[in-house]
Amino acid sequence: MNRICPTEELLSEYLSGTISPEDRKTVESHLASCADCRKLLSEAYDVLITPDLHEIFFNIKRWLRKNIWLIVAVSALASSFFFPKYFIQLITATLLSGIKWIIDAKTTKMLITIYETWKKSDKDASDSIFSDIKKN
Amino acid sequence: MKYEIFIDFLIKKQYNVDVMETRDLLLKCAKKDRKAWDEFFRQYESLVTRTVRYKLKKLNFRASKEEYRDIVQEIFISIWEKDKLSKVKNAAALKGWLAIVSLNFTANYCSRKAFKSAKNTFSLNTKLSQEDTGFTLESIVPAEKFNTEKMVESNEIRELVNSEISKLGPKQQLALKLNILDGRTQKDISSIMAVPEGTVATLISRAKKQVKANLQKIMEPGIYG
Repeated sequence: MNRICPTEELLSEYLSGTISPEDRKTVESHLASCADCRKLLSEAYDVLITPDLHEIFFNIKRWLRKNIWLIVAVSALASSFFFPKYFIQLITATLLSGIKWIIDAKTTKMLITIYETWKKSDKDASDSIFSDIKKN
Repeated sequence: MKYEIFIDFLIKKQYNVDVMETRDLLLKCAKKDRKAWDEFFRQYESLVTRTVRYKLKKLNFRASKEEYRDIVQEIFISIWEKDKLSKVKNAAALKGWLAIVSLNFTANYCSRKAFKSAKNTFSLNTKLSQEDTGFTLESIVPAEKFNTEKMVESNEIRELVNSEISKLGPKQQLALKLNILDGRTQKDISSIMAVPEGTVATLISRAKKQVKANLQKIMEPGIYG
């Protein structure tokens, strides 16, 4: 049995489930015998599962910032019903901001980079991008 | 060719527009980028504050608002000064790591504080008043009465059970101890250990069965012999 307590990094990796299988084994066998580490781990778990208003607001803000063009597109589409006089203009705005939203999306960005590397027929580079995506 | 430039432009712009992802944030913080640190503080201040409050409550430690803020700031300063963030390799584990660091720091802070104020504790033999009335604190504070024989017996049983539990495999042991000693539900254990809930249930029930069977083996000759 391992008497030395695992580092904070190792414990947090265990808690988030991103730990490697070998490390998982050593951490688990230590946790089975060390009450202090077990206490620390379950307290950290308690803190992490309680919802946090600040974080929720932050995530909403982040989502809004990421999807700003989608919001513009939807609102332009909605207002085209209320202002039939400017129907064509609003539909154009919808289309443009929709396209902008699609281009900005992260997946599209990835696809474009893959397409680019394929076009240059650089197999290794495209493989590395694929492995990057899998990691994410 | 023009098309490629256009794509390049879009990708570069995207990187600027995008909110700093956790991984980038970590890398930049490790390089002590000032802006990244501001962002880091803004994002995780509430988590650290929450953790500090939780731990202080658990330790029954009363602290003023200023003290909360001091502890939170000290935690961030210690992370900055000791360059701790560069040790965090996994962005997904950052929140848990911050919670663990804050818990440890708060516990240390409290024990330091408690050590400083240890002078304020009372001895049971202190006299209650200036005059010698013969009364001490000990005579009025009710002591817990216990039966020595019973205590020895229960201690023996506890040791026996503990030794049986320690013979189990690490996974079974961990699940059983989290369940019985720490009072965790099976759902909690399944997310802590990253195994399905059904597996936790089997682990615990098997562990209990095994301990029970082993204890019976030990106890039986004593009963019948």
